[in-house]
Order: sequence, then structure tokens, then C-alpha cells
Amino acid sequence: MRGATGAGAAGGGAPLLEARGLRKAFGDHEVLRGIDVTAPAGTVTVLIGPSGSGKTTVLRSLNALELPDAGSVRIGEVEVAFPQPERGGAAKRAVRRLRAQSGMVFQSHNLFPHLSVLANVVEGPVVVQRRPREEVRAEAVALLERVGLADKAEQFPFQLSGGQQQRVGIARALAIRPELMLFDEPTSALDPELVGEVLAVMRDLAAEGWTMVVVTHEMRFARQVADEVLFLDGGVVVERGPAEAVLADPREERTQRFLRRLTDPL
Amino acid sequence: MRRRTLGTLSALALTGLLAACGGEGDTGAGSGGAEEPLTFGTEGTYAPFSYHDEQTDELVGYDIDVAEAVGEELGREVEFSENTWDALMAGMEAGRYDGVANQVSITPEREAEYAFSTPYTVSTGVVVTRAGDTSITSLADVAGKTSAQSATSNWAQTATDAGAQVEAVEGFAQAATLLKQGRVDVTINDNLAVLEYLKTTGDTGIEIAAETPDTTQQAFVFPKEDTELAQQVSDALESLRADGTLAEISQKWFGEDVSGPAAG
Amino acid sequence: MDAGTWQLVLDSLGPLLSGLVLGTIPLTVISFTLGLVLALVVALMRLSGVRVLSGLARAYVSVIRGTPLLLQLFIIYYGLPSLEVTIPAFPAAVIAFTLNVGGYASEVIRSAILAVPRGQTEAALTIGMDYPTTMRRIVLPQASRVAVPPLSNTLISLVKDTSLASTIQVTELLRRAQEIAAPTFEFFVLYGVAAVYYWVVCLVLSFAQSRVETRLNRYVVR
Repeated sequence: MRGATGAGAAGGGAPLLEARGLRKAFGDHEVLRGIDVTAPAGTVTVLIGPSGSGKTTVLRSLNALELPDAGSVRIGEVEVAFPQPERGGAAKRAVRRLRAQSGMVFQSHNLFPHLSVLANVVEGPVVVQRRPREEVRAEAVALLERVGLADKAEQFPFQLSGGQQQRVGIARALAIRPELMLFDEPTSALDPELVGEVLAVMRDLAAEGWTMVVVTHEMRFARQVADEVLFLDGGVVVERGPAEAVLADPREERTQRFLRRLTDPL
Repeated sequence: MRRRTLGTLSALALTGLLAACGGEGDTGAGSGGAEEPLTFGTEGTYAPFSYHDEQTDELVGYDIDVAEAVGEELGREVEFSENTWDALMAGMEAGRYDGVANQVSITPEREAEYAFSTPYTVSTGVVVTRAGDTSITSLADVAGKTSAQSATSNWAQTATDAGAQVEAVEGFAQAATLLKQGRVDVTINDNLAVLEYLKTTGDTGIEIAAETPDTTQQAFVFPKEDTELAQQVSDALESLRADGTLAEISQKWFGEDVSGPAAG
Repeated sequence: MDAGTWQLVLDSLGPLLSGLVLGTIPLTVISFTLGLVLALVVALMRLSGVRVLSGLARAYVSVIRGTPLLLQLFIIYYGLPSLEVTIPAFPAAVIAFTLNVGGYASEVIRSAILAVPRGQTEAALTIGMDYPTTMRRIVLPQASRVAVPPLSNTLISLVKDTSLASTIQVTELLRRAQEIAAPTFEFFVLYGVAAVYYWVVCLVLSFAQSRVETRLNRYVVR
């Protein structure tokens, strides 16, 4: 599996992911006010922060689901600058090349309901990447085994639990062999007892050396798995550093306040 | 002499507008080469003038016979193109057929829009009431009453002029029904059409109460600028009248000569 | 009804059936098929970000929905010849009905597409699909489920709307009924028989509709 050994980094020392100077406004409201995110290959970067802080927008900028007003995003060898100098079809192709570098797992799984579990996973590689169906099928079954759902291959998403649906979503994203995996609050919409199975898969991916950027509220997961934690608030990165530092002993007052509210809401 | 709704009338008006805006004179193809068939628009649902024979499904009728006789006189094949009443004139104006053969009454309004041939039918109007209703004995008696009429027929005008309130209906059969149900007081129509209805259905629920004082004349209709064709057809009609063919056709269908005053 | 009228009814069954099979049904099938294709194109135009395209689509839908179908038939058949465009009756009817279906169905399709959650499109994008592929593989299959009931409505309405083609010289079921009724003046009886034919066709279509709906709903949570 690509990305697993962290060998995706270009050359010797350049980080796999480099996003610089990201700015984004929705109407009058500035959501991102100049954000930098860097992630060396094989690392797990976790974004935390209150709602409205822009953390989800940052993540969605990395695969151009949101198009930043300014800044640039580089994943591996593919770089896109915003605003894009190209127009029309060329611009869209550039964006698609960037998107191909990453796979995304959504908060509400977004599985294709009219396709079986297996069909969901093979859709990307077969239809978009045009890889041979038999080869993809074998790989897809292996991926489903990895996430513990090989026996559900012929079932449809509506027959699965929330946790199972999310795990299929992870397999689907892995199937396109991305350089980087993006997770947008993958457990926030799950019933508490189902959260664990998803986090377990994510932990395994991290252990295999996948480069991951994760937006989450699961602090324990972050503590255990993240290499770097970024705390965002009001569209800027307030604090960044190793998980231990930011989560256990934050420097900034805003960080402390946020973390306190998480552990002790009342 | 027939009917339909306001919607169709406005549709007709709009297409009339379009047709009028269009090329002048290019619908006058009918008077062209004698080898070309002469085409008439006709209803095909108006017994006994233009309808499909019950047994053979062939298009037959008084108007059909007269039109074919005219064609023979002119040395041209005659073809019929069937259409609904309200679209009959629109089809002619759009060049779908050369003229209309459907008991179209000559009225001043129509004469302003179209070219008529000489008439081939003369008829009177009759006032029809429920059987046993003696309150109406003349056209004048319909004043203040309700009358069922086809919206675009000249009989609607007759009824209105006599002071009646007109209820629009699709055709005579519907008018007769409304009459028997008591939803209207009278209906006015062509005596030939009424007689045909009574003969065919044997309906005893309605009866002819009076005749209208005026006679109406029915003729073939052509586009206004096609005066040449109208003249040709008129000449043919007069020949047919002179040699008795018209009277013969009329006798066949009505047992009397309704084709008009004898040629002189 | 007396014996003579019954005989009339029985004798009319064949001719009316021919009006149905040679007029009403071909008109319906051809116009609906072409109309759906047109409707999809118009819906996509309306949804596109290109102002010219969406403006054109909006204008087209407005004209179709704002004018009576009868008028549309008349203009195409009786109005166009004055612009040197003369179309025979059956094709003219097909054109008018196709345009009409296209206008109404495009709104159904547009709203069905909008009903598909945004997340579906986003997921498709993240596995690398472009817009046409996303539409084809992900959005339209899901939109079709939502679109089937109102589109079936449109189809069933069209079956009956084809009776208007009698005003532009197309021989279909209603016109046949009028022809047969004329010499006997038994209009209501024959209209009644024609009505039964229309009803049977619509029943069959309704049955087909529920079969399609069942099939499309198989992957939905109950």
C-alpha cells in the first residue's frame, strides 16, 4: 500500500504535505486568516479547536473541496496555488490532480447508498483510475478485511451500523492509493459505543506509517496517535507542537481554556 | 357551424395573428396546376354533411358529395383533410388544405376574412325546445331565456341577437342533453342538422318549436386572396346547379332540394 | 342502454383500439422518451454556473409552463407555416409534446438532483470523479429514485394530453371516438368507451410505476 511506509515524500527532507498562507472568507466572514500546515511523510497531524475555528475548512482546503482565496497546497509532487492562474478545464484538471493525492473520510460517511459495500470501495479505482477490475476487486477485499468487514462485502450501506459504515468509508478512501489520508471528525456522528472500532482502524493505519491529517475532538486518540497537534481558533493557528506539549501542557491561554471546556463542560 | 371553448378561441386568435404576419399569397396554391388535387378541410364528425359511414368507415356526406362533384367539373381530384371545427380555418390559413367544405355559413364577419364560393345549401334555423314546452312559439320568445350554442357558430349570434343568454356547448348532441335536463331553455340550430339528429336518434324529448325568420346560406370557404379558386368553384357549382346535379345530391341526402334557388 | 347502443359499443372496440395503438401510444412513448432527454439537458443547464445556459433554460421552462399545451400545438402546426416551416401532423404533435414534457420534467429532474445530499458529490470528488462521471454514476442514479413518482405523473398526464392532438389532425383515440359517434350522435357512450381505454392504459402505467419504485427503494432504510 502506498503511503504506508512513508516513502511518498519527495526527495530527502521535504515534507509530504505543505500548505502555506491559506486564506478563505465566506462573504464578509473570514474563516481562514493565513494558515500553514506541514506534515512530513508517515506522520499524524491532528487539528483541534472550537467550532467556527476553521479547522474543517483547513482540511477541506487540502483537497480543494473548499477553494482557498489565497495560499498554496502541495502534496507530494502536486502543487496548486490559489487563486489558480489557469482557467476553466485546465484549472479543474489541476484540482483533480491534487485531489488524487489524498483520500477523505467524512463525518457522515457519505457512502454511495445505491452501491454495495464492495462496489463502493472499487468505484474509485475502477471507474476513475481505470485499473483492471479483477485486480481492484482483490485489493478491495483485502482492504475490507483490514477494517474487519470482509463478510459485509455484498451488503448495502443501509444495512450497516454507523461504525461499520465509517470503516467502509476508510476502505474506500484507501482504495485509490492516496499519498495522504484526511479525516473530517470521523467519529463525531457516531454513537459512543461505535467510536472505538473506528479509532482502532485509524490507529492501525497510523502504525503502518500512513500520513494522516485528522480533525477530531477525541483527545485521548490525539494524545496516543498524533505526532503534531494544531490548535486553531478564529481562523489562525494559536498553538502547534507535539501532542504531549499542546494537550497536556499548553502554552497559550486560549488553548488551556478550550481544553478545559472539553474535559469539564460545566 | 360548430363550437368550442374560449381557450381554443384565443389559440385560434394567436395563430391567426401569426398566419396573418406571414407570407401573403403563398397559401393560394389551390388554384394552381389542374393536375394537383383540390384539398378541402372538413370535420368528418358532422352528420349528415361530413362523417364516417358506420359500416365502411368511409368519409361520406352531403358536403363530401358536392365537393367531389365540383372537383369532377373542374377536372381535378378532390382530397379531404379532416380537422376539428375550431381549427378548420386555421388549417386553411396555414396552407394545410386549399379550402373548407363543412357547411360554413356566410356571415358578414366571415366574408371580411375569407373568400366564399356561391352557396350550395340554403337552410333555415330552428328553435328547439323540450317536448311539450309551449312557452316558445317564435324566435322572439327566446328573449331572456338561456340557449345552448356552439361558441363559434353563427347560431350563437342569432341567439344573442334575439336576447337569449348563451351557454357554450360542444355540439348539438350536448345541447339536446342540456335541454332535456332542463339546464337550458332552448337551442337554435340548422334545421337540416336538427332533422338528422331526430331521424337518427328518434329522440322524443325535444321538438322543433319555431323557425327563424332568416335563411342562411352555406358555401365553400377559401383564403381571402384566393379569389381565383373561389370563382372557379363557384362557376362549377353553377354548372352543377344548371344540370340538376346539385338538386340530385340534395334529394339523396335530404329528400328535398336544399341546394339553393334554381339556376336561372 | 338498448341493444343497438351495445352493438355500437362492441363495434367500436376495434377501431378505438387502433386509435389507441396507432395514435395515442406511439405519441406518448416517443414524446416522453425524447422529452425526458431534453428535460435532463435543460435541468443540467439550469443547474450550471454558466449564466447564459441557466438563463436560457429558465426562459424555456417559463414559456412551456406559462402557455397552454393547446396553444403550443397550434403554434407549431398552424403558426409555423407562415414562417415557411410546414411540419406534418404527427411529427408536429411529437415536437409539441416533447417540448412540453421537457419543460415540466426538467423541473422534476432538477429538484431531484438537488435532493441528493451534497456529501455524495463531495465523496465522488474525493475519489477523483469529474462532474460528468459524478452525475452519471452517483447523483443521477439517486435522483432517479426521487424523480420517479412525479415523472410517472407527467407520463400519465401525457397519455391523456395526447387527445389534444386531434386538433392538429392527428388521428388518435379521442378523434376516432368522435368519428364513430358522429353519425349516431352517441357521443357520450363512445366517449365513455374511450375513457375506459385511457383508464386501462393509466392503470398499467401506475402498476409499472410501483414496480420501478420498489426496485429503486431497495437500498433505502425503511
